Amino acid sequence: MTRIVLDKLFGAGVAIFGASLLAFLFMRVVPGNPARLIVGPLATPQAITAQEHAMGLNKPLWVQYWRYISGIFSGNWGFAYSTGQTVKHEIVARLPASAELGFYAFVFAFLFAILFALVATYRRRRLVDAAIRGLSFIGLGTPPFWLGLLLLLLLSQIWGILPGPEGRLGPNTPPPPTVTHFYTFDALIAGQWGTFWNAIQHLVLPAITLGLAPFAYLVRLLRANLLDISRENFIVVVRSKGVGRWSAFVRHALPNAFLPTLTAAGLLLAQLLTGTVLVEEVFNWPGIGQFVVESILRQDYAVVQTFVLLSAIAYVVVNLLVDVLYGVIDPRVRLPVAR
Amino acid sequence: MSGATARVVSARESARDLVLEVEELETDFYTQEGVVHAVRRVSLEVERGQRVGIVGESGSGKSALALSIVGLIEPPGRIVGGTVRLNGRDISRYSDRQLQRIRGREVSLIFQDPMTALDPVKTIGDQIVEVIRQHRPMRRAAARREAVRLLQDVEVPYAERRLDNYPHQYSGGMRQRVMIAIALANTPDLIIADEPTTALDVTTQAQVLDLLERLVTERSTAVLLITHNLGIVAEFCNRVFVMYAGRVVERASVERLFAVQAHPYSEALLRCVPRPDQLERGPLPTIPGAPPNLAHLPPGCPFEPRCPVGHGVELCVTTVPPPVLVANSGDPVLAECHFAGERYR
Amino acid sequence: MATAGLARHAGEEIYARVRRDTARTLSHLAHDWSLSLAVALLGLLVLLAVFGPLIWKTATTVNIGNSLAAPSLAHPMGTDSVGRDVFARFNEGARISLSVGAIVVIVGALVGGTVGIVSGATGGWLDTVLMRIMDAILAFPPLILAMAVSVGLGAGLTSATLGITLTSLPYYARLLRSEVLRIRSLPFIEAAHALGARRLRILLRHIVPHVASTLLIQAAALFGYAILTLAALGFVGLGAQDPTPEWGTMITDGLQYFLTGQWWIGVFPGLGLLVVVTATNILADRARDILDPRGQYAYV
Repeated sequence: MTRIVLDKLFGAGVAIFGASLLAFLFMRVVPGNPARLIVGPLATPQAITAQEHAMGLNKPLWVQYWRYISGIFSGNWGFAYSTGQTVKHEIVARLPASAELGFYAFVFAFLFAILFALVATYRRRRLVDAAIRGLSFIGLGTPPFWLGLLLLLLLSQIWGILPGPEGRLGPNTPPPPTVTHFYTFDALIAGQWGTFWNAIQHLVLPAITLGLAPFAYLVRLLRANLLDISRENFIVVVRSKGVGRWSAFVRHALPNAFLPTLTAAGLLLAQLLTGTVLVEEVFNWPGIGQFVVESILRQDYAVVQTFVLLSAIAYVVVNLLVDVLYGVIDPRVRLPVAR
Repeated sequence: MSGATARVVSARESARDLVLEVEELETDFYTQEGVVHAVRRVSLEVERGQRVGIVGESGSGKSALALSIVGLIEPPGRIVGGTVRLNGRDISRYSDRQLQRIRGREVSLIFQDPMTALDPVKTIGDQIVEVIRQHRPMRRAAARREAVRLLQDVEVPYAERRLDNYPHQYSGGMRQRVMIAIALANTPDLIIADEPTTALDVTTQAQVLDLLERLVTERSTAVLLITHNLGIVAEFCNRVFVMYAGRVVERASVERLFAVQAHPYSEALLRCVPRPDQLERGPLPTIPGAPPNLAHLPPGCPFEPRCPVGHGVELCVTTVPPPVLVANSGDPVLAECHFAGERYR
Repeated sequence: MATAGLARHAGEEIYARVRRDTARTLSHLAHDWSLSLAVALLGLLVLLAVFGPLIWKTATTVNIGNSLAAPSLAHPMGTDSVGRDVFARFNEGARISLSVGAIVVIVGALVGGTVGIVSGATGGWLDTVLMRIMDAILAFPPLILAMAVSVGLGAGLTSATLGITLTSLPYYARLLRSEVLRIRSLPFIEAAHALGARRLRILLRHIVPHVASTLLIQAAALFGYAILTLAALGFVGLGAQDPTPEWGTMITDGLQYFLTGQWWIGVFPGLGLLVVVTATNILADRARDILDPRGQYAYV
């Protein structure tokens, strides 16, 4: 068991290393000189060279890479020349917004996926099943940014039910005192019901937009797993004990179907926490995604490198956690056969 | 069964204490290849404490029969006719709700493959407790103690400790014992066992059967044992129903059947069993051909294509044989063969 | 030469399988209404993509006087901010999306598939190295990677295509590697080996025909992803550049007009994307049901 864990950790380390290397090299391969971009088109050659020195661009590549990697662990994530703040400051300022959005998108996707999958498989009425399958296909095929715009058009512009692309809160609502950095949780903790409601309203559309594709994916997976499990022998055995159809389904089929879905769900969570770019653009959400895209366009190395490294770490960590979780939940993995 | 014979037999039956009475049960499966008639107007009876064997090849409809009796046929299958009486009550019209009260309590099932019969993510204890608390409200602790007792009854060593094991930590034979424990948990009047030992190796088979025999004798539980293994039938059962192509083609006591067979199929079956005291050279006898496709049944006797007696005989090809009562009334034998009467002399 | 004969044999096998599977597929089509709908819609878009630019107006004719016109008979999808006919741009966009999708998927399948096959068939340090590279690519947020490539090589369709292809490689590689490993351990391969067949022969004769259908299914499943990612890149300004009428770029064009009433500029391209991706996903799904229901395919 420890051998497997160590093996996985090593693999994780290699993946992170590889991703960071890729990011590092890419930014270096880009034509154009970031130092020049920063000092502006009218700068003298000396100014450019000075800037290069300041940014450490004149050092050999491997030195730069080492500073990059060691910097991550020591907290020095570099300087974002496009905004004039440290990378750490920028990321920390923006990360909670993306995380909160990703969190709610995931919760929405997961809960509704369970609900719809249960409905699709329990009664086995062909129309319902076909409708849910169709919905999941459309969900996977809808470009999220387009959907966001459409939803804004319908629900905010035309029907006025929900707020427009104002960001996390309306213009007249100040953010709650910071505890978790999630506006919803913080508002609840501080007892500010108005702020809580406001935050929720602003979260609805972007969370649905972001969560639609994961929902579609999870529904298909869970439905397929539920169907497979409900045909297993032990379900018939449970029924022969006098257990009703619904109880047999929920108590026995669902837990078994969960296991293979868990891995996929975990990966989705990792993706959601870091991949909110497009939705943030549409809804003016002050998150990381927007910032990273702009940094790419502006060739602000440090930001992109750091973000990639952090994402890779997050992805790999979540993968590991899911593996471990699987091992804990599935008794077949947890307890070896004692003979 | 035709009307006349049914009346003759049922007059005798009203004096018997019947746990299970199945009359003209019919189950169809609607598949892509057409309608499969898995159970075709099957009638049978099981007396209290009796041990009845149902013998047949795979595809004879045996398992469908077992599930139909307790109403566990799911789409694309459907019970389309007949009645089932359990302890005198007609349960064939019961709703699933009502049947839930009976399953696991008055009638229990034991299934064929112990490796897939248990929920892999729940402990053995939980699964035994489940059937106990489903029918007898009691606190978890009490139910657990009961479960330990049951495990000890089925001779699982270190029962108390092993209660919290998971199915994958048990061997095949052990798991089948657990299935028996679950089946007996609420002392049912009838156990329907569908090939309970087929998936086990020979030694374990014998152990499990002995165990089952002891337990049902102690409790006077009736058993409907479904199997293709005639040896088990000889040892375990009092009466035998031979099934072919969804119908019961011969019904007799075990003594009668193993002495003389009325239906050619039963005779062929017995001939297939190699006997150590009669070693011959040459290939083992088999029944040539294959069972008929239950979606496309021939107009006459379904066994005709493979029948050493009736193959090619016009009567057998065109007409379905009615049940014929042969042998004296003390130990009656019923067979569905045009030649049953002659063969029995 | 023996290898040529083997290659031909592999080709024949694949051809026979494809024929057999196509016959089955066609019969399934007749019964499956959602599949037929998907094929019909996709076919319509392909027609528009191929013939639209030939027989309809051009996509780049600017006519400021007629800008922001609502859909009408003359302009079935209206005109955009500089008076270009949206329908014409839509057709061109279809052409772009479908061809880029096809390229990404074909190149990705070939390259990624080869990596996977080589990795699985060879084993050893080569396998480890290749798979670690694939893991590194996977750990990289895909959109960011595509963007980085785009920026690195200069924004445009070519660099976008390359970037997207790069991000899709690991899916093919991992899938095919596990397939190869699975097949390698099958008894009939051991039997062939025992009979003295050389590794290359085994590879060509037995393994390749089977993995062809695996590749096909995964490629179909990733087609939609390729198109959506291209549109996403266009949306942030990195993919196709104006005036190239790629659907994602068109949605960005229509961004500011969404909330002011000229919805047609952005809505139609999005609909196009929705239809194409959904249809191909349904097709990929059916292909999987028919050819390899038990397979574990990645849907991104």
